[in-house]
Amino acid sequence: MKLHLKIWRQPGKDHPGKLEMYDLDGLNPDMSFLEMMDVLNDRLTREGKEPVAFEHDCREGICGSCAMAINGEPHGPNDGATTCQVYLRSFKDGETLTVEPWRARAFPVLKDLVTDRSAFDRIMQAGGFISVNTGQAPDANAMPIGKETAEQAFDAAHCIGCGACVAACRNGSAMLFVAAKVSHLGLLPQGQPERKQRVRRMVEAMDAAGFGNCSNQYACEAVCPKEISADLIARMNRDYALSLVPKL
Amino acid sequence: MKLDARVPAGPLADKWKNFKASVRLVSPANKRKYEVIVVGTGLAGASAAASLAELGYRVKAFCFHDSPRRAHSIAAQGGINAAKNYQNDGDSVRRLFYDTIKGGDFRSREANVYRLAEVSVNIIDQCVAQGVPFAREYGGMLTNRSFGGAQVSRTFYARGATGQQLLLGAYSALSRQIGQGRVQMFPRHEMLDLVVADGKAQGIVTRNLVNGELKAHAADAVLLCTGGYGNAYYLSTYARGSNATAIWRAHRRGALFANPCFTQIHPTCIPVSGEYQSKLTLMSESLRNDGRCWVPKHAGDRRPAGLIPEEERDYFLERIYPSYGNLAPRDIASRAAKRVCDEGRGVGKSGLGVYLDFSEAIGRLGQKTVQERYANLFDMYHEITGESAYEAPMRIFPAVHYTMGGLWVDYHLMSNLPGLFVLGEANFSDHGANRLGASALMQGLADGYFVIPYTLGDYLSQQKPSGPRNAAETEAFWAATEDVQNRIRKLLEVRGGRPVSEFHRQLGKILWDQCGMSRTRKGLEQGIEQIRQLRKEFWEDLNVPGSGEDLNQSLEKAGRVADFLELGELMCRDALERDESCGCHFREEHQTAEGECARKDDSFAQVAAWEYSGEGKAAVRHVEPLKYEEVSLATRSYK
Amino acid sequence: MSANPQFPGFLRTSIGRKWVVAVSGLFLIGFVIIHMAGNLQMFAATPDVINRYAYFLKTNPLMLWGFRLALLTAVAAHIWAALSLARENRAAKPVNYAVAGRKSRLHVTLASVTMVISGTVILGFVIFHLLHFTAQVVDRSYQEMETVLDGKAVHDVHRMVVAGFSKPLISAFYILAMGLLFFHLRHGAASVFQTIGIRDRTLSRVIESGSWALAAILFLGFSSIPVAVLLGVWKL
Repeated sequence: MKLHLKIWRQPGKDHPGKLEMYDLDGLNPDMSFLEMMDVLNDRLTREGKEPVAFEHDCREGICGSCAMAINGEPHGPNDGATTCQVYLRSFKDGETLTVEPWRARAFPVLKDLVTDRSAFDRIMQAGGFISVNTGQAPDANAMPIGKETAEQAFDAAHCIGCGACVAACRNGSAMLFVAAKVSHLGLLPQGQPERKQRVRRMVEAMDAAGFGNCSNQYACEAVCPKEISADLIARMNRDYALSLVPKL
Repeated sequence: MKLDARVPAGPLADKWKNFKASVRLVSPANKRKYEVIVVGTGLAGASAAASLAELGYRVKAFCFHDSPRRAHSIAAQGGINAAKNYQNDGDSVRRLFYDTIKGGDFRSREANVYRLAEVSVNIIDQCVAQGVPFAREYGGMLTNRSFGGAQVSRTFYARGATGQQLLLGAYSALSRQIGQGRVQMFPRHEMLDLVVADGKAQGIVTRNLVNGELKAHAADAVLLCTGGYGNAYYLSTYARGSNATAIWRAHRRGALFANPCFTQIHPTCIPVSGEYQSKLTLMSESLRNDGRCWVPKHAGDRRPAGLIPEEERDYFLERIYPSYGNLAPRDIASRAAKRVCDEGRGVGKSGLGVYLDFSEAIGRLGQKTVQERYANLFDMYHEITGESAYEAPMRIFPAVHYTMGGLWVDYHLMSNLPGLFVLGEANFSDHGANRLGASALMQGLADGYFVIPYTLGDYLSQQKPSGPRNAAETEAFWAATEDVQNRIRKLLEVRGGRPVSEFHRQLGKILWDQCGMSRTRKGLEQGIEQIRQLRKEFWEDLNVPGSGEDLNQSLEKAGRVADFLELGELMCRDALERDESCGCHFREEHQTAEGECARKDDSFAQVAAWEYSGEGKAAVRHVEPLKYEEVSLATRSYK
Repeated sequence: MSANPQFPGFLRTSIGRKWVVAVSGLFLIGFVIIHMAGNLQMFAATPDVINRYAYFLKTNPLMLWGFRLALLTAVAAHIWAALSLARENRAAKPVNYAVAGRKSRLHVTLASVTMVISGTVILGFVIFHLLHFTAQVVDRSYQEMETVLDGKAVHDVHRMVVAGFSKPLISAFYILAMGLLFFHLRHGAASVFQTIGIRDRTLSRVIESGSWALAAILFLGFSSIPVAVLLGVWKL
């Protein structure tokens, strides 16, 4: 099959960028989108041109490295999938695809399709943990945790930190990411002692990183490769307010 | 060279206890005077960096990813073993130890494996305390599943994303230390050399992957937690970025490389679909709890699975290994799959595949339960192949998944270079010639959380803290940085015609054919020749566009492939010299009448540890004999 | 912990200001519901009903002005918080995609992307409305309209309203503004529940349709009066 690609090329952080057109032919519909990028890059290399820089690693949808907007949709057209899990059979023969990096002030472009997502790490460093030193833990079965609770915590904890939520949001908001982590730890009994402090610190770090605010449209939820629910944002909003009420 | 494993004296069950009781300590006030470098932030690296920082050491952590959370430990699906015996089904530390050492076909160090089984129980406690959402029973207690090579249920799991949850736990502990300023984190930094001075590892040279800046970092100890080298095969279940550069550079600086030919081929992966393929996707071993492997009884039977009647199906694992059935260990299951495909009974377009069938499980448990257990894996299968495994059986085929070999370490996890410690998959220590499922996560976390905090202190207590140094001004650091600089220049200056991926793909094919699931003397000798030829072509016809001064992914790949091209030869050499069959290492010349491994314990109950002896020169093979004090070497049987 | 050092910071954080928008919005929704209920007294059998209601409000200045002050505060807080968030939101997304994703997939609805516009027009409308019917400076003749209620001379609100809406342009503006209020509340009312943290998967459907219904009822309720005037239900 044949595809026309318009790919964002930008040599470096402080350089201007532009969309460039590439035509690819002889593609196999069973090829993954990133394998198509490999094919393109090998071709560019042979032509003596610089290949397109893009992030990818595990190629099985769990590391959260890959990050491209295909036709304005982070991770492409499929629900519950990362870019690496998009296969060419999702597109029509001869289709034109515009491929751009995540767009958000908090994720500056480093080169081509590579952005700097370290803001997420800074939020985690501010409070995305349970403070337990190695060796301090009691027996794992000492604290029963209901199956439902464990499942809910898992659903939140499944976030891969890819940043698609921010990329899809009209406001470049990171609330789904932060809410997922706040909820994962806030749902579990182990997370209770630091619950108030955690949500406050993470929200403050989120604001400091230059993300926008939630205006309740839930584009984040629609593109999340792990289908994390925007309900968690409601939960975080509640947790945040309650964290300010003393003795509660 | 005499290899001293420094195994503590005493009965096996008391060794670790005795070691901890007599280990030399660094006082709390002195810990902050020591600087420790941790390279890699997967399970081993993140857990080590966090634990050491909690103790008070100054830690610098490095990873080539944009965030420590992306390390490939994250992709482990099935679970983590621990001898908790929560199921009351007869498990114990001793049994986990024995299963692991037997699973490794008696090619691992007894004392290390026992310690691993011992600390496994602490890992689960630690992870739960961090908030890892392991699967639970309705009553709130932890639940378990079974994995290959065991007759008990001791595997803890978090749906099909256990590795992710464990890594996020370790990453959160690491993040906490970074936030508190106890760990200095260097993401997007790749280690390109080890600095050895006065016979000790003293630091590393890194390249900033965004702006190309080379920098030397000094420390009192260096921990390599950089994972395995299975990407030498090009197609594997590894992440695309996984590489051997850190350990290979350390090897070139004097660290011994142990058992490089021990590579695990995992039986349940999605088969290759075309030439362009960049990656093989694992279908968790946990699927073999309920899935049944079969192929048609008759060669050349191309009917769709549904049209092949029950009596014409060969459930080959259940037939050959009745007591373990579909849960036979990985090396055994992989070879059995290869054998039936070689007989022409393979399924799918390429004939390189066997069925993994869930219809019996769906009938027995109902689709809902099967969905609950494996939905994400079934979804993944559907995404990749476009087929539904609820309706037709999955097609699977073995793929490279893990490397048991790695840098040689002693009981302290220290390599032969003082001050260089190697943790997790990067070392060779615990899995012998075959790793059991759900044991990699266990080992990574055991090393990082519970072993290194003791053994590193023992080493540092004997060292004077070097204090803040200007690394760039020291001769050894300066020289190593220049070496790295020259190497980068060399890669950029070839300016040939072929992209690096082409060489990588070719290397992978050579290794898969000659040093894969089944090996022969002739093939290995041929493989070595082919690799040498390919290496020559690489340095003549490689094309790396761009410069070394910015983000250049071709350059990163080229450096890694250049190292694989050297390591690949060593893998073949090791396979050639190990003139026996054991675990994953199946030499066709040495097999039983039934086609199983024929070990030669008299001559090869040993670790082969290779010493680098210069570019183009043959590496020197050293030997650590494996002494078994408590187990007797038995022929592995899963029948 | 008794004293809470975090509290002043509340108004600086994103979530804090979202709470301000939601709580003030909720108060304003309450107000428009009461307002509409008051207005619908136009349809009572006799004009006395609404005139008596107006007289009751006017003769309780403490209550009236207390309420007006609270309203003013809510409006100010609502506008301040919403605009400061909107400004940050624009700054957080300096570059947009060259090709926009599918609106259906990304949940882009007209109502949700025009909150600032609909809010601004509604604010303009409110100012006009106050000048029109409260200060009665748009047409000063309204100040003179009187009627006798229980033997007292009182302001004839009923006549003023009929007079006011007899002008088709003004009625059209009122109806347009109510249309925008419908849009604003369709997204805004549902958002309140998310922001104050009581929306979840099971409630979301109720909340979405409830918000839609509320917005529709308010639109119909308010618009019914100018429409009735234009249809000649009441004569001057």
